Amino acid sequence: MALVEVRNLWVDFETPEATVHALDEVTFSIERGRTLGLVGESGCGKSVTARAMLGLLRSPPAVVRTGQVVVDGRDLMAMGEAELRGVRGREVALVPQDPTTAFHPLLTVGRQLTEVLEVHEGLRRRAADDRAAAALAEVGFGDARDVLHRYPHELSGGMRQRAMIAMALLCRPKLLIADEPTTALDVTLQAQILRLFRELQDRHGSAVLFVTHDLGVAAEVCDDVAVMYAGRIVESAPTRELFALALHPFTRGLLRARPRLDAPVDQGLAPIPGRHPELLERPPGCPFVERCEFALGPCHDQRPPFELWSLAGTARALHGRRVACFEARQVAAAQDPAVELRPQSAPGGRPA
Amino acid sequence: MSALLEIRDLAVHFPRPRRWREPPAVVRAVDGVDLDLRRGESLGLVGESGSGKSTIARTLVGLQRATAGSIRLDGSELTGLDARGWFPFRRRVQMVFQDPYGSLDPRQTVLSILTEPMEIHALRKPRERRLHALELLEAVGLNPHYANRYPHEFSGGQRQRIAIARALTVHPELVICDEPVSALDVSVQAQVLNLLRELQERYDIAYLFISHDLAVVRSLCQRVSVLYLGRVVESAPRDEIFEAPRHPYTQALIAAVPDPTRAAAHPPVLLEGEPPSPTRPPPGCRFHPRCPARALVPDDRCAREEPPLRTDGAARWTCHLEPGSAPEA
Repeated sequence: MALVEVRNLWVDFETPEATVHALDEVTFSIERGRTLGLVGESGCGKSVTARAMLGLLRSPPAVVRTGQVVVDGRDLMAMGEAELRGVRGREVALVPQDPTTAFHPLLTVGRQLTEVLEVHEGLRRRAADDRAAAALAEVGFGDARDVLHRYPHELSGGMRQRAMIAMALLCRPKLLIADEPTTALDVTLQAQILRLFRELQDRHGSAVLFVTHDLGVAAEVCDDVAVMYAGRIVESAPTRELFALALHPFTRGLLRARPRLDAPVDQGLAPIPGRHPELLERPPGCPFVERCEFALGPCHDQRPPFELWSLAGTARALHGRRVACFEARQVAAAQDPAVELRPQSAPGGRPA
Repeated sequence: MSALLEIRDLAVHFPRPRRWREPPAVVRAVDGVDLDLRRGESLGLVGESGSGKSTIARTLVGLQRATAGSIRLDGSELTGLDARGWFPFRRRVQMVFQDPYGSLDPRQTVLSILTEPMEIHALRKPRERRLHALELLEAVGLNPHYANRYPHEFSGGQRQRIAIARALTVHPELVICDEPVSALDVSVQAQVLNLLRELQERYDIAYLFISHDLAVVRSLCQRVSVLYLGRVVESAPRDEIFEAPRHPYTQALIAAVPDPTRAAAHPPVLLEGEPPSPTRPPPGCRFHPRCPARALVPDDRCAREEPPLRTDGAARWTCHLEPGSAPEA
């Protein structure tokens, strides 16, 4: 069993006006030492998934219909608040999008880091200071001792995000959840932070869930990528394979809509027509059908299963490519007519 | 093509808010910028936060006063004009803002948002204003039947289309786009970028397109100027900027763009640190504390002297490094 397993997670938000079906049968797993990128557009459910995995969905309005989030054998969905508090920050930690609002403005950085250690590990002040300084040094602060005494506003945006990462890693979490950790940063700082993520991943070996809307960012840090649309995971694959060949029309659309530095400029971009649905009802068929150029009859009224596929004649078959699309063969053929796809009969998750 | 906009040596300085136990200081947000824009052309303005991109935009539409320098629109000097003097130019220079949620009045219908600029500038007869507004809605890809709806009934991408239509109602010659697609999802972003391109061809508008996203700039702009700490460090036609960037900062910016096809092969050359404060810009070349090429210039000139302006065809950049002596980026 993988270190992190999310199984069949269904989450609704119920308000007096409407019910929003935010997550619809979300299932994935992350092995120790791997980074999974969760990619999708706003409103697709990627942040809801991240918050569910931290036990941070507020109820009401959130209702978890069914599902498990199993981290190292324990199901977070079955825990009470007191138990969750012992898990959050220790076994599962978060790096948020905006480090400016995530720090308490009136407490020093050091105080906020040492508090984590005092609460979770019962350390005394001096021992906690040492650990906090070591953690700050690890994320690249040359003057870590000095930074302990600073207030968040005295740090720049990039430094704050580094300090946030140091705080998340203090207790050596088994699972690190990064929710758009570089979106608020400039591209040069983003590159620095992404490099830091890769280095820390090599050293610590936690499982990382990396939530991002940017496929380029996902390509830089993730081993595997899961693409979400309308509350469902529609495709997952090892990162390089996903970029080499998209099997879901939405993934293909995302890749084609993205302006690139190496594509010819004159033909313009290829947008996906229409917009993301509002999830007020669960469509009987594929949620992407309205925007899809490959859609046929069954796409409208039957739910495409999230199936394991293999590419005939290549070793890639072993890497567990999954896609929820009836027309995956056509999508693949549109990119490379030589590719031959086969549904793989083996059930279950990633083959060994 | 004639010069539509000429900016020479533009400076915009702000007094920094007073801080306890610190002497008063001046933030040199824009500090000696030259830019040229021809009719019907789009110029991309890129740089990190704090480089002065948005301050230039705000100064061009009169939301911010220039401290020094000259801004000429079609030959007429804009700096020093009072509100009344500026008024006729407001029609000719329009702006599209980054945030499609904050830039439309929530209590106005779309129709009223679109007709108001024509009323202010006394363009067209009242009945024609309505027709023109509906025409523009159609031109930006929105159903004219939505004219009586309110902004909150639209998605982010649709609101940005409304903001673009509003900018076009008064037949501007220059539209300043300040990060117009940064708040949009990539599938919708492509829709809006294609729309901006079509409208440019149809109405012969010039764009000053401000963005931190180099791939977006490349998809739309014919020329690009790169800003660092309030100064332009390089200006060149699109293909030259992206294929043969000359300034070390431009090279680093391009290398830092995450790219699915490149990521696996070779990791980019990374820039260390963050831009220094524009309150006390470094002496000499402002980029020297972070510059990977500094060691290649003798006598540490980068830290002591202003870099010279170099030109090569249509490209101009400011750097102490002799062309050709830099290692390939």
